[in-house]
Amino acid sequence: MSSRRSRSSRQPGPSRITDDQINDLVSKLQQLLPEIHDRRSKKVSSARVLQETCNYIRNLHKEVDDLSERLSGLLETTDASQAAIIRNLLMQ
Amino acid sequence: MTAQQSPNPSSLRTRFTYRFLRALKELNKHRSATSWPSYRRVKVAADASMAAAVKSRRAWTRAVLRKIRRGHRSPRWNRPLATRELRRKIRRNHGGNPRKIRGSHGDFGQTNELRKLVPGGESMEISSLLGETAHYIKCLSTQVQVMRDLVDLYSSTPTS
Repeated sequence: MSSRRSRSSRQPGPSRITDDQINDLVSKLQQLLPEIHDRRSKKVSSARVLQETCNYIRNLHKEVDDLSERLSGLLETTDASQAAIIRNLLMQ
Repeated sequence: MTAQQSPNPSSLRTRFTYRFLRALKELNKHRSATSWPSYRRVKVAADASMAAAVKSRRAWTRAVLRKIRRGHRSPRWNRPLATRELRRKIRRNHGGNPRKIRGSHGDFGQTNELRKLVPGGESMEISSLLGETAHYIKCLSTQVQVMRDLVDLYSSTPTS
């Protein structure tokens, strides 16, 4: 990302982040979110973006939990060849 | 993700996949000694593999690796709560929707929520937090994608 960010993140004490920088970062975040990005609305508020971001992260966490559970169950019962799995997985 | 012709050996996805598969193999190896690899062990292996694949380049991965090295001790605060955290804790205990509180930039109340979700987010500046969040989301989606593919593969492979 821009050098502005790395410089400011190392500053101790009160920061000098401008609102513009914040808005810039928020809009970058917005582009990562599946829902909002599709609607391509320019009028999404920062608060909305943050809200959607939190929801998105929570969903991803939940998916990781679900998938971990399924995987741990599958590991018990599967003795599949590792090589085949790796090859398949990497070709996705 | 779209199908690739050949795996990019240095892509995040590839690095994560290798590490994760190795970790799962280790888990499998020791399963007779303890109980079957629990869901929790798989999840920790996945999170650790992703953080290790990114390495310490990011604040959030450093936070994850730190936490893992500390050995999953109880996630309570080890230090006295700072004023803002104390305020948030009191507000949370009083229930209801948290109103927007003024952060150091007169900013959004949602950032508090975000800080809880991103590893290491509690002590980050708002601009760092946003950047870290973006990277964290990218890595999380990759992690989920690979885990999904793995589940599909294991589900469809006939047991020997």
